[in-house]
Amino acid sequence: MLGIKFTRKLEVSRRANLTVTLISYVASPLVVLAVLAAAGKSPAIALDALYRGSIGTLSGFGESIVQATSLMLLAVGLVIAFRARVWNIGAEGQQVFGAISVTWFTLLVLKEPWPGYVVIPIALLLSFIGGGIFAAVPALMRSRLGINEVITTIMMNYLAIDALNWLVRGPFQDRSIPGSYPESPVFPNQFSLPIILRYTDVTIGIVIAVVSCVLVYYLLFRTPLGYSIRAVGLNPSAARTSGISVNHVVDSAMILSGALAGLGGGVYILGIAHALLPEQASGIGYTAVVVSLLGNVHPLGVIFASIFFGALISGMSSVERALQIPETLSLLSQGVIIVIILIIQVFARYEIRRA
Amino acid sequence: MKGIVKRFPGGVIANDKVNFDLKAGEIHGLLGENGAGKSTLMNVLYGFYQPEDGAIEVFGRRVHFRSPADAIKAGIGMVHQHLRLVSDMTVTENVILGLKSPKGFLLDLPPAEKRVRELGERYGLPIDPDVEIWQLSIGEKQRVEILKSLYREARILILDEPTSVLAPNQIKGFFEALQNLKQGGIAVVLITHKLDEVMDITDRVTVLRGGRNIATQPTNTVDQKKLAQLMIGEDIPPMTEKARTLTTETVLQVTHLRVYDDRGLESVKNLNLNVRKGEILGLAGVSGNGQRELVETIVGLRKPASGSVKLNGIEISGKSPREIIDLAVAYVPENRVEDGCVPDFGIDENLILKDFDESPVCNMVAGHIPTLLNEGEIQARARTAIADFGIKTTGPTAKARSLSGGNLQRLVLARELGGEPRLIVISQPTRGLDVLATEYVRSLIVQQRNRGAAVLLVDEDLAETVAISDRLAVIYKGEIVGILEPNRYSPEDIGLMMTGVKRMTQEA
Repeated sequence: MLGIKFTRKLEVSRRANLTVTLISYVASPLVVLAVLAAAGKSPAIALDALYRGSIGTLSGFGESIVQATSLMLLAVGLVIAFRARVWNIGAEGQQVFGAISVTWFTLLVLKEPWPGYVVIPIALLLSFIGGGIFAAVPALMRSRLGINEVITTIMMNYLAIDALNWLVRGPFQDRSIPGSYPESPVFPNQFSLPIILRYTDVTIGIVIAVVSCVLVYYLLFRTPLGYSIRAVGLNPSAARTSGISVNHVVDSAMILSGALAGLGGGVYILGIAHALLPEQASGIGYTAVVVSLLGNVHPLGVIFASIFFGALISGMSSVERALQIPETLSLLSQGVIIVIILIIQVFARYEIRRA
Repeated sequence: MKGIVKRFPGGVIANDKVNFDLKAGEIHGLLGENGAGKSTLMNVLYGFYQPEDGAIEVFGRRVHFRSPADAIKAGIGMVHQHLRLVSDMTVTENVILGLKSPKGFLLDLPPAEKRVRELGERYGLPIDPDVEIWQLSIGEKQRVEILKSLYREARILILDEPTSVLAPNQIKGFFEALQNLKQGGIAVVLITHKLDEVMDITDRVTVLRGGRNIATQPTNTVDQKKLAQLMIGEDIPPMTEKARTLTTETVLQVTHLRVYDDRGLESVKNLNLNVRKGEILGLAGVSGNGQRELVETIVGLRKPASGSVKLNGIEISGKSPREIIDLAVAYVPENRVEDGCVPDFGIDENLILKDFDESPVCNMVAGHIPTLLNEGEIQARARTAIADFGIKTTGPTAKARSLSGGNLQRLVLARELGGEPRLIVISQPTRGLDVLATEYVRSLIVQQRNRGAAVLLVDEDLAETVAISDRLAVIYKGEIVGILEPNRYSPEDIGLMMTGVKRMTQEA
């Protein structure tokens, strides 16, 4: 019709993928500016604020990394599930459950004079296990009973959020001050993750996240378990015919995915929140779905996608302050970016020629 | 239809100057083996395919159908083997699907409902128009498909193997409905490979073989024996005694096996079969007679209802596919792309599909705990396979998706034959392959037999089965109806057995 022909490529080259990803990264800030300009705001001020809030200043950069940290852990977990073609939409609930596990343990040892290097590793391990257990429920429901995991994982999110809201008003609430907020007691200082970049809130959490991505890369592409996860995701029928237990693979992928989300929740509470707050359920689990797609469902791609998204979130909050715009407008531009990126990625799969 | 020629990419001639005529108010049987060109010819008539040559006249008018929509307008309806209905819609909604509503934007269901009911009563195809499709049995769904054509005022109705999905007791009612249609002046084409059906219901019969029209005759002038001969032909090579080391050691022993198919129908019934060491046992039969279920049960993908499957005396029915693979059973599935490989994996990754967590493909700690994949071993294996099996490709990491049919089959064989299997179960090994690849695959099978493997060859290509098998078993409706040795064999017997006319009581 337009004199342009689309043909689906047999194989998408790595270069085409990379090019398209880079284009979407560069195009995104422009989209933000366009949205703001359409809303009658000065694009020049917006651009300046976006730059300073994301990478232009030390505090902006720090905040970008902070925002990227938990996101990265959640997203790389989802990569494992998505590679097995298990649609885990429950990272939100799994990270909340990870944080609840950490709080439970921390409150137990609150009065003990245990040093951080003992408490922190145990707490993080518990968040990892907690997230895994929380994901095991929908995993078993899918593999043993054939119940669609999209529905169960979403329902489990509500379960986790309601449990969170009850705990911070009930058993976990800080009752030391009368009429206090719905929050757990603040954790002692020695239980906080060590900061690795001075004058910022960047903790060792980002190192944990990046290392996790590299480990997941090895898991998926260098170990037999990862191989079977990819085989089941790409062709479950051939995998079954070749003797791979599809149920076992589905379980493993979902549980590992939830465990990494749980760890993400643990890193957030020990690194940033230092207490269990209702805001632990911030919707990060849904953003992680987008980030894992943006990272080409690849563990190393997720590193860049998370940092990009962290920078975007941090930059946009600085734009909000500079232009006095409501948060909704910045959320709107984020949404537009996501849609545009997904559209651009589709183009990578097609050869575009003049008819 | 005169001189219809239809070629498919790859040089396959599905219809070679076929003439076909159909009279109003007759039931015309279209008979032939799988791949004889029956469905292709009818899809040409239905406008689904465009012929390269030949002419079609419908009711005396020359027509050129560009799509089924044109054919439907000309009064032709077709019911495919796989029914195409929307299961969450009612019967009426399915029937009017795609038609313009007389009320424009709004649906006008009540009159349509009334007509569906009337048509059903008139032709003996009773159905409740209000019921949703998912609540119906397969036989009732078929009725809906027929009503859909009748609603569009079809005068010619093509039915593609309609009885293959029906249980025996349903077939009777279905045939009565066909008689009613005939009374109503509708011409019915019945595509089938079942001789008894042709004899029972048709007025005339056309036999296709190898894409050619072999005969068109009034049904009362032929008998089943004659039809079987026409269908199978005389040009099957004689089954010869092959040079092989005679052994009596039984590798695979199937006894009293009963298996249900996906629809819950018993598709393997009290089946007995032995495959000996160092022989190729060819399983001949028209597809859909339980071959698939039998094969899937042997390799562990399907659980039998009762009976036993033994490998060298060890019971394997009920074991997982993995356990059976570990007993040195190789399986080359009939669908290479869907079951035989992971198209988006490279050749290297596809070759380790069965032993990716075993040494030497995987490094081990403490003897049995898998750690990292052994990249060097995987690449070496891929290079060896490409060289040994002559896979034409750009390299070990090329995706399986990029391979041609013949090269993909070489890849699957390279993987399956790698571990010197005791038993090889192989389905449709050369379907869709070119001459060169076909020759190669056959030679590989024979080579494995000579090495001492037991081979169960499930093949719709009768000429091929006869050419390379040491013994031939004929399967019909889930039972072995005869075992043929080279010295006690006639093509006519095979034809009669495959179509259920004749059976030998001799046990396998």
